Amino acid sequence: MEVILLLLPVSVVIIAIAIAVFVWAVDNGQYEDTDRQGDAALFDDLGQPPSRSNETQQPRA
Amino acid sequence: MNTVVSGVKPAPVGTRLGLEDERSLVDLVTREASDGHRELTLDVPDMRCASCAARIEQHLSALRGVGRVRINPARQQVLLTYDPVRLTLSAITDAVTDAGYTPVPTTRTNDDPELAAERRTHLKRLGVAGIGMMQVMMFSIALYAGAGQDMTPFYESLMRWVALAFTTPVLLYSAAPFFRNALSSAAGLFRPRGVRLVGLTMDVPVALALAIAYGASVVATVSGGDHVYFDSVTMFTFLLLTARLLEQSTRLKLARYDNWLAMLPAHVDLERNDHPERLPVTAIRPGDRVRVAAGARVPIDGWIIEGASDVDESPLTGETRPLPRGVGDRVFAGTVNTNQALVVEANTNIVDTRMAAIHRLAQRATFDKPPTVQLADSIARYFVLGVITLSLVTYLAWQWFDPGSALAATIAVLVVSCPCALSLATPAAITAAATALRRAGFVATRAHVIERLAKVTHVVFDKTGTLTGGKPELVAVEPVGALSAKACERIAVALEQHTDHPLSQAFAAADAPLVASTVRIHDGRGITGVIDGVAYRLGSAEFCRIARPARHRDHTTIYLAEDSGDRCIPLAEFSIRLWLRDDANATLAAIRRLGISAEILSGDSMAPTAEISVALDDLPYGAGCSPEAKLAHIQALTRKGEAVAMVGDGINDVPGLAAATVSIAPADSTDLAKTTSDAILLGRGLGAIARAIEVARRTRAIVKQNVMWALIYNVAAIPLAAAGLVPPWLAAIGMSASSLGVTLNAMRLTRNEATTWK
Repeated sequence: MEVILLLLPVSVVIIAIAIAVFVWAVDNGQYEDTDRQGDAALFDDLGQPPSRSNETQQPRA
Repeated sequence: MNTVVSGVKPAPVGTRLGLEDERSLVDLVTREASDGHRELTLDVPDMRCASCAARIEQHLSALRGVGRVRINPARQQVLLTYDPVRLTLSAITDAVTDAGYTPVPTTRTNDDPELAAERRTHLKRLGVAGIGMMQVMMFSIALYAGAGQDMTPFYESLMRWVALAFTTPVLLYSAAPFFRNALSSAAGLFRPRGVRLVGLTMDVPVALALAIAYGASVVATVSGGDHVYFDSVTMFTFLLLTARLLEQSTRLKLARYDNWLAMLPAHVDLERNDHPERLPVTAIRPGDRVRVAAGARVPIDGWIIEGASDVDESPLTGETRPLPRGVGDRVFAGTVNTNQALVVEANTNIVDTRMAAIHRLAQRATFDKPPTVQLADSIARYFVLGVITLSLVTYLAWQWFDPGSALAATIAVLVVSCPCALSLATPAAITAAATALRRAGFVATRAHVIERLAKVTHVVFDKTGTLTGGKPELVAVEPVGALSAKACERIAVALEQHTDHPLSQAFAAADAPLVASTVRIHDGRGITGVIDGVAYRLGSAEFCRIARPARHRDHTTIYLAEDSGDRCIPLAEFSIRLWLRDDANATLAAIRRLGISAEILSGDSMAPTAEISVALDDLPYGAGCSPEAKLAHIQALTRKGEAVAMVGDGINDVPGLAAATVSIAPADSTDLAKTTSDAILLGRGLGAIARAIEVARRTRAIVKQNVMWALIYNVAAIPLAAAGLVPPWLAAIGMSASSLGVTLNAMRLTRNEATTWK
């Protein structure tokens, strides 16, 4: 049972790493648009649905 | 003090955007209202329930110079009018900030960097809460299992300390917005200008529950008490954040259809004084020439001065087929230029486009509160206060029976109750329905439209210009007096130029037009005017005092007569053929399928009305009705208990439209009919009417479901929680699921529409 005294600190470190990776992913914009990449598979050209071409020209002045 | 749920602290809008100085920006976010007032729409992303709405309303109403304030909690928007002389824009946004919320002008888009940052922070909080929750759950399982297998006190204490270590960041980082909101809401109670107790937001019981559960667990960990609730604390935080994230993205999706500016390209290629420039779309002024590439959206209302292309007008009219447009044709902002480049000369600036006008009309409707929403709101306001009182009673009662379970039951009561299900139930459904209707080409301009439309039992159609559409055709001109057919036609053209009655389109403009003076329009009967000193009458047989039967009885006939004071000398008889709208038959069939009766009420004479009636499967009809007769007929129907929808386009329909339960005007109606109507059809056809009734009925069903669900949930869950039968973690699931359930149920309205109609 004493091994748990070692495993608990290890889990704390792993969790800290997991959170750091998640924060990096969010800041890197991985979760910005969860629809478009899925839709993109349905279109042949350029991987971008044509109907959205106007909406991606943001941000505006 | 700012209280964005995800913790971003933007500066107040007024200073951040320099609204005071930037005149063009004030013009963009506000609009001209009556008597010198301006109308302003603000997004308030952290306003979540009726209690928040009440707080904001109180703060805004206290300002000098604020006119009407209307709040839509489902869209998280505030619409108000204010006097620009007495009040500045930043004073208004400051008032919202003082109330503890963050105002943002509605011109922002989904790609707004600030909105993205807010979403990112929210996601991070959610991630920390989720990972923390999983760990704490594992330690809880160890504790539960260990309790049955005589775990030594050392390991039990160790597990509790580790769970405490994982819960603390969740509470301090992830749950921070709940505490901040609750504090600012509670602080409001002690402000001198007195926000009343009903202003408490839903975050108060949430924060209380979290604080009590965490505090009790820490005490139990340190001094070896019976229970720790670390699992409930992390789980509640995680579920609430999840529910709010989903709710927010749902609302953003709804708002996306709404933000007309976001539909337009950000920049346009402009040619001003023969000098090409690339400018923001808001810089377009009347007279500018704008190049519209193939495949791009037309950014402005105007005329084509170069090129020809097919234009998809579906965003404005719901008409799915692209229509050919060439030099001299009008195009509208928001439509899509499908295949050839065009040059368009703007004739308005961006805020006065047809698209902006339609959105404003429709938006107004979502800010009026329908009666059922008002009722739910007033219940929800007292709900939070009731819940806090009840949890206190629960705690004291349990002290009597079993002090050990008192804390768990109190926390469960605080967590399980959800007024948001109650106060969001109706607005969410109405907002979703309005969005679905607008995409089908039906714009409701009043809040009660959807509620009333669901009850409609009888539809009254005007004939000319409503059931019939397109350009009427002048079939024959029969001179019956001294003048030739040609001369009579020229007189008629000169008179008809002064009216926008559908029949006037049968008279094409002449080469050398005559000029009519002292023209008067006699609603629903005809026109009088003077040409070269001779007075003429143009209109129905009765109006021209002609007794003889019409030559072409199947056609609509109007007469021209010389008016010599006491008697009329007949000059000519015009036979006009009207074309039934393409989808008139299908629409009536659909209306009948819904179990609704219909009839024609026309100002035209018997024979042509009968012809239309036969073409429409023997639709009952009334012919030769004056505006007063139409009004009387609708009033009689209403007295008999029918809920009447009147569809009419002309000035002669206006009294009838005003008296009907719901009034609807086709797209090409006269302006007066449009402003009198509760709803406007955007497309060419009538099909949207049947669809609208269908959607309204579904909405009514969904509102009923939502309110019933919210009531049953709260009535069942709160006593169970008070009785100590609901563990805190289950209460957390129940509350989040209840909130989310009503929002998703409302979303079904937009989803079904997309799959079945397109």
